[in-house]
Amino acid sequence: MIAVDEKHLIKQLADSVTQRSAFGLVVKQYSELLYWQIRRIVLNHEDTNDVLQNTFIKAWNNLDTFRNDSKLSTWLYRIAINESLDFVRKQKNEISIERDTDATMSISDILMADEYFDGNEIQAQLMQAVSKLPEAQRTVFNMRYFDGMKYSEISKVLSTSEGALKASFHIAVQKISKFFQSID
Amino acid sequence: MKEEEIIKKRCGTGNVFRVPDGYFDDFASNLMEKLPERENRTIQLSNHYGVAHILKPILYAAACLCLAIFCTVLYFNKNVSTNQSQNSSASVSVQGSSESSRDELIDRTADYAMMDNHDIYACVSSDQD
Repeated sequence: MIAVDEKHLIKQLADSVTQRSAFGLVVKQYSELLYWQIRRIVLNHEDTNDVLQNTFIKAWNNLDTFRNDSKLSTWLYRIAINESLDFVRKQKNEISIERDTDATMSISDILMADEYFDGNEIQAQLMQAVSKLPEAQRTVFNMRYFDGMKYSEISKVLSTSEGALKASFHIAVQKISKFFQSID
Repeated sequence: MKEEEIIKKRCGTGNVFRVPDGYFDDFASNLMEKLPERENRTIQLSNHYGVAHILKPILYAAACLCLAIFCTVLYFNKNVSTNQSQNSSASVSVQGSSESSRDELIDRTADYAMMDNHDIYACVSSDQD
């Protein structure tokens, strides 16, 4: 990842002359970070690629709404998570309830068959358990468990109190534990 | 958290996904080609380190100090006016008592000298003459 001074980057983004080239640097700097965040929600590479592109296009079109009140990375994280959750919601709506149940049950099988999944069966089952969680719990769990983000950082991205995040994470962990107990 | 540790031991926290070779190398250039043109508009960024941002706590402190001074002045003014009103009522009562004691003294003197109002009038009018 290319490390660019965020202050300098934001100044360039604000200037209409350097805006486009600066955005290119933003894409280079944050694409990988955002990709993994999206991938854990969307699971599939092709879909993740689409959502990541939409995230950056949305950021570009709404550059005026960035007011430097939060960090650039926080702002992008927020867009990426919203886009990912929107994608999953649309996907669920498109699938009938009957097929949805089957699809949820077979997520670990789908992952095991995916050429871009490197995990074992237990890890595929973990991803399945995470995908069954409600949106808020899933997002907090991913950010905390896989990325090791602090509650204060997650709080800025999700605009939720740290107490509520801790509660969500705790419930998520309990649900995942129960999921594993049920399949043992 | 015990349950979290159990999950970590069982599944680990490492990345279980991977991407096609060179995906991130090409992503930025591919995206920039797709990026639509937007009106060249300069963005107004809020300046965290502007004068107003730096002065804000100082202004708050100054406002609190002014309020404290105002309250103190108001408190002492009230006390002073209460004292003054107490003093004035005391002086009125003293004055009143002194006037009544003078009248009593004149009455007692007049009684002692066995003078009635007619004598007093005659005395006063002869003095004026």
